[in-house]
Parts: sequence; structure tokens; C-alpha cells
Amino acid sequence: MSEHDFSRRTFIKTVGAASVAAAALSFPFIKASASDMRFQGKTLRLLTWSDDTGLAALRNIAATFEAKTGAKVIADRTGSTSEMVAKLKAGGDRPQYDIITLAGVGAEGLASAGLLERPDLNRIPNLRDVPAQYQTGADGHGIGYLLWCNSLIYSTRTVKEAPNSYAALWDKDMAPNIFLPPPNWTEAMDLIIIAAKLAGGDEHNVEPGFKKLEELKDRVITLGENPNQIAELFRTGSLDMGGLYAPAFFPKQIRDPSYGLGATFGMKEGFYTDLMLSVMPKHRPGDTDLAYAFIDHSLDPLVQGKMAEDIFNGPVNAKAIISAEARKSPYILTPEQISEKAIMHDNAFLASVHDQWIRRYTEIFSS
Amino acid sequence: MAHSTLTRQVGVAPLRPAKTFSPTARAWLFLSPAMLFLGVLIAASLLVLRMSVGTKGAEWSGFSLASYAQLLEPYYLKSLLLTLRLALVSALIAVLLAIPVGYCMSRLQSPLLRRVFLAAVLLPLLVNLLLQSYGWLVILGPGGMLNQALIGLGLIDRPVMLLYNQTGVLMGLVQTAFPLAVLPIASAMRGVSRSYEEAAATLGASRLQVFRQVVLPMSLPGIITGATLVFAYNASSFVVPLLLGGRRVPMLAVMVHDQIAPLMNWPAASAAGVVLIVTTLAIMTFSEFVTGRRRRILEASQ
Repeated sequence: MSEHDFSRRTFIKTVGAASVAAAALSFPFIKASASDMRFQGKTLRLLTWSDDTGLAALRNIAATFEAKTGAKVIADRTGSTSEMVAKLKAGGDRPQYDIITLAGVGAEGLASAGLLERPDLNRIPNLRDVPAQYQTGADGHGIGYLLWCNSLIYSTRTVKEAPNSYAALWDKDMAPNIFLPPPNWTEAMDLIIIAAKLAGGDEHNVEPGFKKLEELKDRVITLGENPNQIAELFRTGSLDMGGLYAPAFFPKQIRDPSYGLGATFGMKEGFYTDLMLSVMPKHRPGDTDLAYAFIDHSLDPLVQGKMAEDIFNGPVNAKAIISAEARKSPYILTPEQISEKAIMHDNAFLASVHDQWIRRYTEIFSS
Repeated sequence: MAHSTLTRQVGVAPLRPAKTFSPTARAWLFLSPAMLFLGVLIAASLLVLRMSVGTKGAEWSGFSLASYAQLLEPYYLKSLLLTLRLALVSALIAVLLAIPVGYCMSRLQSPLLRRVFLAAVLLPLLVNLLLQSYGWLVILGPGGMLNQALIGLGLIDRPVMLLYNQTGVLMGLVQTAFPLAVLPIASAMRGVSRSYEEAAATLGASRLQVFRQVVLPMSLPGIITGATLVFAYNASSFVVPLLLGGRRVPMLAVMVHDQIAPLMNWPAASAAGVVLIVTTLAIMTFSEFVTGRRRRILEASQ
């Protein structure tokens, strides 16, 4: 009996040691900072997205932060940025969260409502490796976290070569059936600007863009509100191309050949990005040092690289570590590609025209 | 030493029976959970009403009717009319389809068959709307079963677009709200005594005449209730136009969503919501008026 007990204990110990070793090997950055245990036993409350990006944040950021610091991250995965904004507004002076990761437009709404604390940039060492334009957003209330990068999505079955210009959307021989982003998405605003530029205008002269978009009306199958539905339409051969749309919506489907789904950032005009931000609500319940440590950890070069490889988000850290294998992928963005081709939204300008552009876009594509 | 006794002493007040509530108090007590729930809903509606006269960024403190004025613009009027039209047409189609089903259910003798029928009718209420929309995608999508069959039979060359337009949304609205039409109609038809049908048949009416001239008029309150329920349900429909309309069918609930995300314009969204509620309530009140009148006529004739 005792011999049996001893064996079982030995077995459990061996398996435990092997698990820890395997985890440490998978996450070398945990090992590197494993001595930083001053947050042992503390709790950080995180509000993030419910989609694959949110899940990836739990895997690559929250889990590794817990392992590194001994702190506990309690994550609430709420649907979308607007739902997160509503949740924080509902909390009023008593927010339930220490950190919220959300899109720039949401952070701006919260900042203008006076609900956010302006972070001290000196307390985030990794920020020194982040280019100035990605360091902060929402009038200094948000810290750049990742880039939501929009591509052209295409069917690898019907489009033999990845398109190298947005003009491909207007090529009905190349792509008879297309999808576009829904009107309420920022991607639609970017598409309007792209159409305007292709037609000789720009963001301050978008009328030619609306006229150019009208040319697409009969070929538009859907304005893709639901990424899973879009993937399904590609799988069934109903779509040839579409965009602007982030490959981050399709991390599983792009890797599954049965969907015949491709994405490219190789457009000569560049690709549009939206800076996603980490924000700290005023009167948050947890430890301030812990909140800063978490934000700093999310900007760690290895963490940034992992997020880019896992979910196809663009890293904001210019020293993000992307593996040699991942660098071969057309969907995984490197800091060099971002520095060369990424175009940032002018959120303040878009906010001033959003309402009118949504209406025009909706009217053009209404059935 | 104090004595305890089991018998009541003379001069001591009689033991009072357990406290009982009056029937009215009991009724209020019984209703209180439901009233509390309704109270929360009404409070939420009132908050929406307050927000609708607020201003962007000052939803609770500001006051402006600009959000309502904005709804008079053609963009929103078109959306409101489209919403009412689709809700009305879907209510008519759902009722037309529900009448034979309701009649069948009301006349089924076998309890087992009745339960099977009921389960089949209720199925759309039990299955998630998102899943139902995927079902439509599999059947009616450009690469769906129907298009594949039609192409296979050589009847069409290119897929017919049945989804991502008003037709697709209409089908979705009818399907998802179908049980709301069937249940009141079946209930009303079950209430029509067989003796009326037998009397009409005895007087020489054919089965069709009995149905048209006896069953249908006597079930009219149920039919109107069914139509009203479907109309109200579909007027505020959000998921169906979003998924089956491919964002190309701008029903008002979708526009409300747009105002909240990404425009964060809560007053405009609330004002659109209030207009939708008021319009739907007005139509439901009219329907209730017609139903009540019909009911009174029927009661008088009996």
C-alpha cells in the first residue's frame, strides 16, 4: 500500500515538474521574469472582448502575467467595445475593473465622459520601444496595446494571386461576388476613404468615393456583420473577395484549408489600422502598481509577438519578437511591415463625419 | 413556582388564530413578483424616454428634442416605414400560414399528436435565433441546398439571391414569429364549439363553408391577437435583419444599434426606440379595439 502511495506521489511530482518545465519552455519570458513576485496574491480585474482576440489575450497576456507575478487576473469577456463602454458607464464612480482593453473609439467615449485616469507613461518601461504614434490614444487616456489591422480577404480557390491593390474589389472578372464591411464599422469609413482616393479624392473630398462605391452595389452579396457567416460563405464558394476586414476574425478558418480563405496586407496603398488601447478607470478597485505592471507586460516584445502570431493583430512594440516561421506567413504582421505600410485612423476626424458617412453608405447598399 | 397549564385560564385572552390575509391582500401578494418584474421593465422604458430628450454626452442632465427632429429626416422615415411594412406583411403571411395549422391543432383528438404538433410549432422559440439564421444560410444561401438543387436540375445558371435582401428578411421574420401566430389562433379555434359546425353542416353547408362562415369569424379575436403579436415582435426585430439581411435591410432596430455602436449617440437611439414603441403600441391598441368590438358582437349573438 505504502509502496503504491509512494509511486503515485512520485508520479504526480514527476508530472507536475514536467508540466512546469514544459510551460516554462513554451513561455521563456515567464522564466526570464519569474523572480518578480511582489504582486503575489493580488487580484487584477480585466474587461476585454469576447471574441478570439479576447481569448488570445487571456492565453498570451493574462495567463503569462499570472505565472510571472503570482497575481490573479479575473477576466470579464464582454461582447464588443460599445458593450464595454456601456458596462463601465453603468458602473459610474464604482467601476469593477482595473484595466479595460478596447478600441480607440470606445476609449475616447469613456475619456470624454471623465471616467478614465490619464496613465503615467514613465511607469510603463516597455513603452520606450513603441513608436510615438502608437504609444497613447484617447487624448492620452489610453495606452496603445495592439493594432487591429484590416486586409483584403479572398478565396484562394477563385483568386489565384493575392491582390496587390484595393482596385481588385472593383475588378468583376477577378471577383464577381464580394462582401464589404457593415456601415457601423470603422472599416467601412476606411473603405470610403480608399474609394475616394482611387477615384481621385481623399478623406476631405469623399464624394468621388461614394460614387465609386455605387459601382459595387450589384456585386455585393452582404455587408459582413458576422465573421463566421462570412467564413461560411467563402467555404461554400459564394464569395470571391471582400474587405476591408481583419484576418483576426478568422484565426481558425484561415488555417483550415476547407475554407479556402486567404488574406493579404500587401496592397500598394498600404493597410488601415485601428489602435486598440488599454485604459485604467478612475476609482478602480485594485492595486495601481499591479495595473501598470499588467499594461507593461502586455507590451513585452515576446507577448506582443505571441499575440501577433496567434491572432493576426499587429504588434505596437517595434521590437516585437516574431518567429522565423511566422515571418513567412502573409497574415502575420511584423514591426517592419507595420512601420512601412500601416495607415492610422484619424479617430477625431472620423468621429466628426461618422454619422453622415454611415447614412450614405447604408443608403448606397440598401436592397 | 410558576404553574404551567394546558388549559386556558378564565379571564385570559383567547388564543389568536394564525394571522390570515384578506382575499384582496392575498391576490396582491400573489401578483407582487410579476408586478415587481413589470415595474423594472416600465422603469427601464421610462429611463429610455428620459434619455431620448437628453443630449449626446449629457444623456441625463441635458434636454433637447433634436433626436426626435432627426427622426423626421428621410433616412429614418424610410427605415420606419420599411420596418412597419415588413412587420405588417410578415404578420399577414404568418397568420395565413397559422390558420390551417391552428385549425388542425384544435381538432386533433389524440393527445400525443397534439403534443407533437405543439412541439413542432414551438421549435423556433426553443432554438437560438443565430442558429436559425445559419439554418436559412444552409438552405437558401448562394451556395445553399436550394440553389445547388436548382443548378443541378438545370433550372438556373447562377445562384438565386434569396438571402441578404428583403425577401430573406421576410422569410426569417415569418419563420421566427410563426408560433406567436399559431398559439392564439389554435386556442381561439378550440373555443369554437363543435355544435356550431354540426348545426351549419346539418343546414347543408359544405366543410369549406363551415370553416369560412362559422369557424373563421368566431376565431377572429384569436387571429387578430396572433397577427398583433407577430407584428409587435417583428417590428422590433434585430437579429433577423442583421443576419439574414446582410446589413442591407435597414430596419429601425438595426439603426438603433448603429446609433449606439459606434456613434455612442444614446439619445438618438433612445428616441428611435421610443418612436418604435409608440407606433407599435398604437397599432396594438387599434387591434385591441377591433378585437374587443368583434368579441362583443360575438357575445351578443350567442
